[in-house]
Amino acid sequence: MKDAFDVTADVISLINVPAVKALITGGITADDRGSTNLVDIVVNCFGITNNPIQKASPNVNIYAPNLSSGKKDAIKLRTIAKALIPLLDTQFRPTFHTDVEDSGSLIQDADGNWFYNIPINYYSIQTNFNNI
Amino acid sequence: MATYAVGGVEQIDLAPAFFTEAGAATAVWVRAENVAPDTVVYTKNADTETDLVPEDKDVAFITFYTPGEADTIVFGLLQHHPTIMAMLFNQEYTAATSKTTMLAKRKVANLAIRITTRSMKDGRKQIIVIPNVNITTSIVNNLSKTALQQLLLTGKVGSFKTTTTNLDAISIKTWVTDAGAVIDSTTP
Repeated sequence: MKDAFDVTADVISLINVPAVKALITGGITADDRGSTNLVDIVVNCFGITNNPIQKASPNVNIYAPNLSSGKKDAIKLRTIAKALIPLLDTQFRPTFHTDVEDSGSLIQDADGNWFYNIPINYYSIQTNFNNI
Repeated sequence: MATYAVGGVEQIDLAPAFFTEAGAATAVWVRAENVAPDTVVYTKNADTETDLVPEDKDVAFITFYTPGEADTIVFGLLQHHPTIMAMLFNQEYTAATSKTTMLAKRKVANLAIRITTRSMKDGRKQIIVIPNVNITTSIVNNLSKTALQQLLLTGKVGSFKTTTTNLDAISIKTWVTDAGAVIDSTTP
């Protein structure tokens, strides 16, 4: 049975590749952002069902500090989003599979900076499910 | 006298059908894993009565009693186990290449079903053995990424002979402890 921690770890394993790491200045972390002034990717998951095929709705958030002009760094966010989406959509692995729920939305954070939120779907089949 | 409650499914096992009560002792059971939740349904088809009431009377003159259709047992499997599949279908399975060739000839599988329930109350569960069931199969779910294809087994319950009285019977239900030990109910 997968739990929410497994989900974030599995999703991070999909995107923790050199091509993505080359685009960010911070890190790829679970739940919390490692910094506030670097370009980071955060994966979170608030829960997963307990069914023969487990379902979860994790989020992949791309954080980039605003430009010196105070505007959002749209190019950076867009570049990283375009790199991430193919890595998250229709991915089938031995113990789970994922797809992109929608291609994402820009959200302004409380500190005025912007992040790009990509909600995804996560599924995992429980072997010999006995809760019947 | 203890009272019991039945619910939940711990596991389901299948074996070739047997036609005497004694056959339960030698049956070779294979566990049917990954049973689809809430699919295990035993239906006891109701009997019917038809009254004939004379025109000048208020009560039935004669009552016809019609037994219902045979009982049915239905459950779904979310896993294609080669041994179970071989029991249910006419097929050729090549283990070396994991290849299954489904033959055109359809099969009514004559199997025994053993259902072990959960201990819902007082640490007691029930083992239900239905020795003679004619099972047909169908597929329920689409090939979807969000659901598992379900193999639905629909069984028509047949009869077997009891050991001591040689009567026709349909199932054997035994209460056991959570650990599977026999319960002596002779003393209250």
